[in-house]
Amino acid sequence: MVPGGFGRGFVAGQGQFIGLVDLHGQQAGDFVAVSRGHVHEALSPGHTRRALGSLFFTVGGCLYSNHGRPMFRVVRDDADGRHDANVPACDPTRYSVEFGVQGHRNCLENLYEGLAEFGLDILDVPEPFNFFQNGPVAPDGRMRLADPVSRPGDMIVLEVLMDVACALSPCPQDIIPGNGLVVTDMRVIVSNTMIAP
Amino acid sequence: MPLLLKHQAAEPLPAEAHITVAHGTAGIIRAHRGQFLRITDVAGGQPAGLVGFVADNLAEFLSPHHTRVFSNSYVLTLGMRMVTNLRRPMMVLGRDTTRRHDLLLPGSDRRSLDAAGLPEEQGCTEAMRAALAEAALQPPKLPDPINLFLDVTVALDGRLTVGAAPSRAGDTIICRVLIDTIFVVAGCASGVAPGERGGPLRVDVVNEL
Repeated sequence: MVPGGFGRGFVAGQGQFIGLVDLHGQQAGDFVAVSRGHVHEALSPGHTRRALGSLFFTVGGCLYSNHGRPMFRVVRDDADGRHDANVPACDPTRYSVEFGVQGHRNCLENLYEGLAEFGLDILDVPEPFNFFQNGPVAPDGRMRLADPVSRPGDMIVLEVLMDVACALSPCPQDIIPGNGLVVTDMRVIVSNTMIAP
Repeated sequence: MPLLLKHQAAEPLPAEAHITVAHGTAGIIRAHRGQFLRITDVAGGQPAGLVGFVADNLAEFLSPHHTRVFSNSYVLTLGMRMVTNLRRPMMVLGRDTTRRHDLLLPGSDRRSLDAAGLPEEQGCTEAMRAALAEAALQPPKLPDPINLFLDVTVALDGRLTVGAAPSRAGDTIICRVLIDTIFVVAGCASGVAPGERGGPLRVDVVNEL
């Protein structure tokens, strides 16, 4: 269990499955991963966009590393593709510059704490996939702010295609739409077999 | 024409600078607060990868990702603030004859160009690393670039369409620079846009328009 607004690191091996569960619904979870063999090979939203030709992925599609290699395959998605891979992790400046709030918990530091033991600097924390975050496209290429549509217990399951170190931060954003203004807990499951409902 | 401040700085703007970036390479140019950065596709059909490091702190840099969310826009449009990873405006896109740029895709690199069947082209990433090394600059990270003159359209369903190289000979962007910055400009193949022609880029830091 990862408490809402905090972060946890974990490892998974090639062939395993990672399940990320939005326990109470409407909670975005920032997720990053690096190769355990080479920590500068990282899960990359940008390379995934280029490979998929889309902002969004679908079940059966892969998520790619910055070396252009598939790192995960999406094998189950209760949120039906409504995830964001566009918004950088919230960090101290997200709150101090944009909302005048100092000392707010934030995903960047949560993810860094989760990965620090693998030798990463905070600048090495990759751009995140923000699972369950709802990032629809509005006309003229605008981003529309929206709350997640995920329901309690909704899960995304990733098949792990290379040995990885990961971190998950149930986003502490409680000021603008993104988590329904209420930050809640998530669960991480790492399993040797496909995770069933 | 420096920024129109109520109390003008005692120091005038520093000297103007000009570089030409040959296809397949990257160049470095410094700009001070108040100067203009102008990037011109001399012959047309050449995208420009753009990275910028804050001159007195290379760990702060131009970020396409923070730029998108700062303006709630997937695409770069006229008047948008281009911000750093610390959400400070580095410059503003003030003039733009092409209106086709990209904030979403990574820069090309050796792997992506090989995969695209372009083994003879140089990657944006490698060209920038080489230019930084030659200038004895060691930033802690090479960030993702803003891809100028790369036409990526975002559909309502999230699909990305890369159009043919959009810039014609002489197409230009001009930005008013707000933070003293070391810019790296790469003139490399994108590996994703049809119709690129591989010409030089002209990069000017000027005090007058």
